[in-house]
Amino acid sequence: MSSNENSSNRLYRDTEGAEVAHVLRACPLQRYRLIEIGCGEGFLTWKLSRHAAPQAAIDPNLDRLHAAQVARPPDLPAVSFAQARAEALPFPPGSFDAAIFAHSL
Amino acid sequence: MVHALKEAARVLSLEGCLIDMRPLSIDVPLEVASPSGWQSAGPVDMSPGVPTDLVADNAVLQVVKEGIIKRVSLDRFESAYVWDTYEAMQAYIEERWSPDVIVPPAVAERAQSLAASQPGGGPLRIRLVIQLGVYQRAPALF
Repeated sequence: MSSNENSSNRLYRDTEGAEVAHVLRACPLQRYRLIEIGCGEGFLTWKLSRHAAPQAAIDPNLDRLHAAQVARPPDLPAVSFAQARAEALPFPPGSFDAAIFAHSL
Repeated sequence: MVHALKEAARVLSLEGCLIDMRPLSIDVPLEVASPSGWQSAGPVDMSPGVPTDLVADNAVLQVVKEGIIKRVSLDRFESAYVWDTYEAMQAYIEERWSPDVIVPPAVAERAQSLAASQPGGGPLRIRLVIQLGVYQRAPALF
């Protein structure tokens, strides 16, 4: 059970791991360069990074990006975070093998 | 949303995988944990989010229709959001989900009553219905 916590609320999201399990069943991320579009505070980012090849994550909100970076588990490689809008991704064509909108479309 | 989907397709390799995973605006129960299991306080009103769901669905359909992506699968499953206390849930909904999610007053009152009868005042959960659409980048130029 992982949590997002701040001074006013404590949330445990996807307590049964259903989101990651269904994503992995649908798409074999182990071989894929993945971009997460609208990563928020990185809840899913770090869970998926255990399964995906080098990963990028974008979000227009700088505070949430910072929170996502700070939330990095020590045993996982870094994810390339960028402040950007989904309508203007700062990557050349064909940069990734998988793209995910998780609660962000 | 159409523009965002097209941008995602642009940065994908041909036959790359595009995943659209989001909660649907379907009324689901607000539940409070008890020694005998989860007890329902009543349904959460998700109806304000329905127009957004439709806009997103139509955006995906348009990009499919233009031949930029093709659908591989469309499934649903449940994902639980759990809070330690009623107050924590209320604060989260107000901060993150308002105005798309409404806890009706009668449901709020029952949830608070159920939570107050538990040591620690919780936990509470909402099991959202999540839609998972999987698409493949197709050869259409744009």
